[in-house]
Amino acid sequence: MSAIAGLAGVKGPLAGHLVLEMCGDEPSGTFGTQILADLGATVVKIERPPEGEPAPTRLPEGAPVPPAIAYFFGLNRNKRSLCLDLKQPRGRELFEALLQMASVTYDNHAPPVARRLRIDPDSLRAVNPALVCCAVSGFGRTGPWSDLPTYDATIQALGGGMSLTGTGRPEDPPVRWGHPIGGIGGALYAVVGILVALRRRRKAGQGASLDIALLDAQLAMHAYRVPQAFSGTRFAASPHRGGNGAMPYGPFRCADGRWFVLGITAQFWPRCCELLGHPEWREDPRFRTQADRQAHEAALNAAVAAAMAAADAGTWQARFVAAGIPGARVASIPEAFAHPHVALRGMLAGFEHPIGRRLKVAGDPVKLSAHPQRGFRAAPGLGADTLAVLRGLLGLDEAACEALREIRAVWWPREGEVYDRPSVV
Amino acid sequence: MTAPLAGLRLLDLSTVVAGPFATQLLGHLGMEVIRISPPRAEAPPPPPPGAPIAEAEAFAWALARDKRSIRLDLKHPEGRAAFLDLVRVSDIVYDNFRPGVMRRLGLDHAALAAVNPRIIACSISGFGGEGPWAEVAAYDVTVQALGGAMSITGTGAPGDIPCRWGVPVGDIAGSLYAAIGLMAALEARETTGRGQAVEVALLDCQLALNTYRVPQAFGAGVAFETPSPRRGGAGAVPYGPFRCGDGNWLVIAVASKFWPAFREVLDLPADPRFATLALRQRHQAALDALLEQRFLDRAAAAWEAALIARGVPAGRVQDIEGAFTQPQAAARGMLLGFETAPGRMIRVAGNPIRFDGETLPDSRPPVPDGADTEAVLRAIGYDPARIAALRAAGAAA
Repeated sequence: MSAIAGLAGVKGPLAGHLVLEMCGDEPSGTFGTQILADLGATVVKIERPPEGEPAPTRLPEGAPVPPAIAYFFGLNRNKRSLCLDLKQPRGRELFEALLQMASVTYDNHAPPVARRLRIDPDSLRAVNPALVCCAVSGFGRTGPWSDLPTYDATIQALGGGMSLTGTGRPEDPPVRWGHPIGGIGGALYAVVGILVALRRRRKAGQGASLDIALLDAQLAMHAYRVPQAFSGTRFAASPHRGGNGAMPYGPFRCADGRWFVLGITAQFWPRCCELLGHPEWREDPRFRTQADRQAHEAALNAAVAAAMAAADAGTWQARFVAAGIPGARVASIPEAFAHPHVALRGMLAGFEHPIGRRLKVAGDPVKLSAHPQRGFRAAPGLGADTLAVLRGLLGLDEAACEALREIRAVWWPREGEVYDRPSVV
Repeated sequence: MTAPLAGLRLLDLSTVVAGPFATQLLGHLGMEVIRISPPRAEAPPPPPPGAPIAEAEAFAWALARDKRSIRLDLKHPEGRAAFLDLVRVSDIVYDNFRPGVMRRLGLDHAALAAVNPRIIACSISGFGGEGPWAEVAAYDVTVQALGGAMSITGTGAPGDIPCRWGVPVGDIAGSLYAAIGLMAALEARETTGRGQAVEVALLDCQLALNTYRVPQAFGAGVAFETPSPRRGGAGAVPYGPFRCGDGNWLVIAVASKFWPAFREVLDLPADPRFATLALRQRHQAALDALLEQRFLDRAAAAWEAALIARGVPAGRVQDIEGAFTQPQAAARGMLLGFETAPGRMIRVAGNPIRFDGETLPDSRPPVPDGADTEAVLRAIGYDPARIAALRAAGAAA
């Protein structure tokens, strides 16, 4: 156990659990394993040895980090990289030795690809039945579409979310969420499933094969809308009407051209009227109750739009925060991380690392009182931890490691860290 | 199959979406989830046969399944004492009150740990317990705006209105992270023997979903705007929603390896302008115009069937009903039905966490508030007279 825990990127509640990641670049895999790594599991990325001897990545002083490397840091902090050729018998042997020590495996290949690589749950649990094997794919391991490839946009379309997203203007196309929530949603459910299965494994000694479909995850998120959708209610994109009929609601343009979002449920309406400089609206028969406001939607939105256009978004933000009612500037990503709340909660983090120190990443949103966060380990270079895994976990000596590198069953860099990876996406 | 979380008990003080979404999932996975709501007037009468499903009923069926329910007044000394007696035999206390409420009730983690050191206290709030925003009310749309996502969601037309995701992902992501946090705390308790406080802020969760864009924005000089609806994340062209002959939308995502098969399905003439990804990007306007015409030739379902038969990623823009009834979702059993009266079916989403080769126990319908007050209090040793006294004092119902 201690050899495994010693390789963890950070200390945390999952200390001592070895997670083997066999994933491409997509967030449906790497986003999930990164959560496990943030929680203190020892996550080893199994990567294919490169062709030849790639040159170490050296970035000129002051130059921006290439976007592909930045992307990698956004999904792989606190992990270890092991370059291992699963298609070679010696590589497979080492892999199976690691399977005996592992608690969890995680792959995000389409089921036929996983079977071909013999990393599907059935193949892995034939080696170690107590494993928690999590397979994430677009459509899952069963059903008529199970072998099909996916793309985030098609999952968002099929999942129903796009039919609820957009401007609401009939001529406009439906809109996907800017985040790849197809993959991310699946990864979040995968992590919950893994932790649940680990709990059962601890109590009953039993492994599990988790079959997580990105499409299923999209469907589950409709939650409370499903009963009404099957009872005749049609849900559509409605930028100016909130979930429970809240109004005024949604984005309004401010004096500086920026957008400011309102979410005024009935309880906040009187205070909102004062903030907008129109206390008389509280008594206006068109706007008095939520039903009144819904009945006079166009007049309300026009009046609110005119009021909002009188001040800058930043001014509105200060007023709404002071009043404690829901209103927010539409923030760009850098602006989102300039929020005062971010520094207080450590939601923007850096690294002590030659490349990593030029980058920032989002913090971990799971705040645990017994496990304070004390910084992240940088995302690993290609094969950077191959020797540490072979020697520390599998007990191989230097000569054995060199012999394996000679036949390219494994690989590690000799000159310096390599961050230029062949993209899987 | 024994439900995997059997033997764990969670006291659920949460309301609306951000809390109950996760506890329903945990309840279905076998945790004993006890909803605790304040005593108040009798529940509304059951809806008349044939009435459409109202919002409150939909919320109950979606979010209160697989849970028990008791009514206790936590502000009443005897109600609070009964709650603490439940804490002694529970594993998790879960709330989504505004910050400070649990402390004012004398029920923050320190107070709970005093009666049960193994208790895990999981709290969800909009902005966390500290800082200038701690007391600000959060709403899904404001959390999506502040988190950055709305700045990258929309039609892509310059100056056009930003859009939120129509799914309340501010609440839902927070709820899923809370489930992750409390399961991790349960694992830690196996070695330390002690519980801890788990705290999740909805804004933090939205920030975390920016994942790979954060280092690209902070260090790689990438400025993110609302992306073109017709260009994929890795530059794929053609991409995005196209209107088909029946008026429905089909989303395509034609990465280079799928281009030859796509071209055959759409019967596009060989055209040197579109031969490579770089050329398709350069001549995108011409290609999109050609495709806009071609997709009008057939219905969305026909195009979808033809494309997926060749393994090309494509998907109709489904509404919620269509999403659950398409063959793949039906085959996965993602739609559950409960007959609440003869001929009256309520449909809900199933659990996407599948244990392959095993079957989880069926999901259980929601119970009315207070349905289990008697049974739950009896199980911790309260006799009928004591329970009657609690009711008479207004501390329980």
